[in-house]
Amino acid sequence: MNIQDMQKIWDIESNQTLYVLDEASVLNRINKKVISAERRANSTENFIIAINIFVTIVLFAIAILNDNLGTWEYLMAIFAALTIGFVLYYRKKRYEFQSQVGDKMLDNLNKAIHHATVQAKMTDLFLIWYIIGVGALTLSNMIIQNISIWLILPIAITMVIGFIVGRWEQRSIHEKKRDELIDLRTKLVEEVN
Amino acid sequence: MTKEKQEELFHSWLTDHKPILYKIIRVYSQDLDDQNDLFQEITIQLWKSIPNFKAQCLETTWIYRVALNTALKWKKKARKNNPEQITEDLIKEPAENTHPHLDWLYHEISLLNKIDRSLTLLMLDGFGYKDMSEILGITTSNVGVKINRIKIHLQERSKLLTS
Repeated sequence: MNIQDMQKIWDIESNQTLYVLDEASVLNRINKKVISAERRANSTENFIIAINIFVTIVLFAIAILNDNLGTWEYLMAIFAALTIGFVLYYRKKRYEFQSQVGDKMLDNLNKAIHHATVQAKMTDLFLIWYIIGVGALTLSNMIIQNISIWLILPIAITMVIGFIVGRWEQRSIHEKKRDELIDLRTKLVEEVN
Repeated sequence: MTKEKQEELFHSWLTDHKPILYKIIRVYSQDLDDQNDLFQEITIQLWKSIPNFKAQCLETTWIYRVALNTALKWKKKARKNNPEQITEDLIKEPAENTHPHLDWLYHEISLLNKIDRSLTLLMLDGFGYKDMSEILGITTSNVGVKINRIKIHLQERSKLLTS
């Protein structure tokens, strides 16, 4: 069979209905899915923002009301405030990425690779920032206050486990996705001899 | 763009260009559950793309761009058996028979890597090298070399079918 024969067979499909499409439910499903995906992403971010606003206000309030200029409270408050900034910046990037549809395949792949790289870096940064930042501040504060080692130890172990699980997720999801996209781009642009 | 206008254009795309979507879905996903999943993903991206659509390019070119970009990045989802899912399917398998070699052709295309699948679909749908280069973002000469390689490969495979 040559390519022209294949083309003829292929053209048959263009002129006949191969599937039955429930068109009425398509739009309905799209509306639901777009709204629910948007809501899900926004609600997680809003939750993190709300918690960090609360933490920032409470920590600053405690420090000011008690006239207690403890480094720990101020550092944690600054840390929580910076996390809000991080989440808002991430949301902006997400919106920018979502609006890029209909590009050339190569441009689209480049953007997806860039997005996956940023996502991997952000997760890495957030992980180090949050676990090591919070962990170091919490543990150092506990040590300064002479809290029992039997209370410090489980908290330290939990933080280490959280860090390891987070790193694993980052490598197995974000970095894997980025590598797959790079592989696709290589296949697309490679010059074949 | 108003929501009514977006809906109107979306419906006309679905009606007029249904075969493009089905072909792409069939070469990038195997079973009906996956096809439904990918179909949903592509239609969502098409819906979102409407405000960015400029009349500078043909509707078919735009739809191909959006659908191929989506299919390329789409990943098969692990799913549990859910009997209720069946009633929610958006596309259903046809009752009528197709050309006996059409299944073979689809199978062969689905064995190619994801990039070559896109090129083969565009080639079989009659796109020229220039259009393909526009959709893919690579040079026309590179498109030509890749298409030739695919043609040779498919012809070689068809010899096995006839023998």
